[in-house]
Amino acid sequence: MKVKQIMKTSPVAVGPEDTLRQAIQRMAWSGGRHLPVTDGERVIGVLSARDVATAQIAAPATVLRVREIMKSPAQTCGPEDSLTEVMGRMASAKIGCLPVTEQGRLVGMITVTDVLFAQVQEAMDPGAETARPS
Amino acid sequence: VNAGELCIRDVVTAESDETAETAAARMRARHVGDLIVVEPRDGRTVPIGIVTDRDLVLSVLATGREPGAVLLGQIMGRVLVTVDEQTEITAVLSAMKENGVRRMPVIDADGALAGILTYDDLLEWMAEELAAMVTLVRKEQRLERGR
Repeated sequence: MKVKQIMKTSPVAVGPEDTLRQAIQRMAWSGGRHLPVTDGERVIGVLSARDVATAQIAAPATVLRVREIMKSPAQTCGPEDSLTEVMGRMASAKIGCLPVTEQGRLVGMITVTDVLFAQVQEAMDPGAETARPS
Repeated sequence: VNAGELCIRDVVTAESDETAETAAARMRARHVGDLIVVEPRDGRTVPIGIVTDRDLVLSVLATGREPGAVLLGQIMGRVLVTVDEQTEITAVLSAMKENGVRRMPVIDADGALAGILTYDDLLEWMAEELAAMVTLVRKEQRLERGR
């Protein structure tokens, strides 16, 4: 199975100069726990709910920008990468989500949840077509 | 393999009368994305809720509330899905999927908090299992070729 079969396309992203207030609104709207940070179309980092909550609540500052708390550089994967290989990378590096890029351009996002359930589904029913998560 | 064998025993907890500010500081210090909210009952520590980093973002920051004035009891998920230590991992996965949760407290026979299982832990275990399986298959293939 490949990343492109289960990745979420058209992910909601933020820019490095966006404020945390803007990032919080996007995160609420996206329904996820991670946002890719893009400079143009290039992925330069990932912002997680934990980064936001702990930076803004545990160590409040007047005006924080995304670039100040994002994890950068971002680890990424490609749409043609094997899911098993990506799962190994996510597990060993303890990464909750990976932006999917094609020639440096953001094309999707893949989370631990997506990978785990795709692998379980494939293990239980190898012939089944994997549905893309909503 | 059951939940008791895979769960993390060192659970980071909080109480419902602690504030969101305290919770965020603890998440930061302990490098976790959730706290299990517990209360003492007859000498046992019983899980009663869960607060995640996303709860703090959505229920506190996004609404402009003052983190030092919001109690965890006000924002924690009230319906806590737990599994007991004897539950098989496949059943844990099904329960997680069914309930739309990515973290599950594990309880002992008395209902006390015994550990926590997260997607990340399950993914790590599954990756190790797959790697072991691949090694075994390759070994068998080598043996077959040698015959």
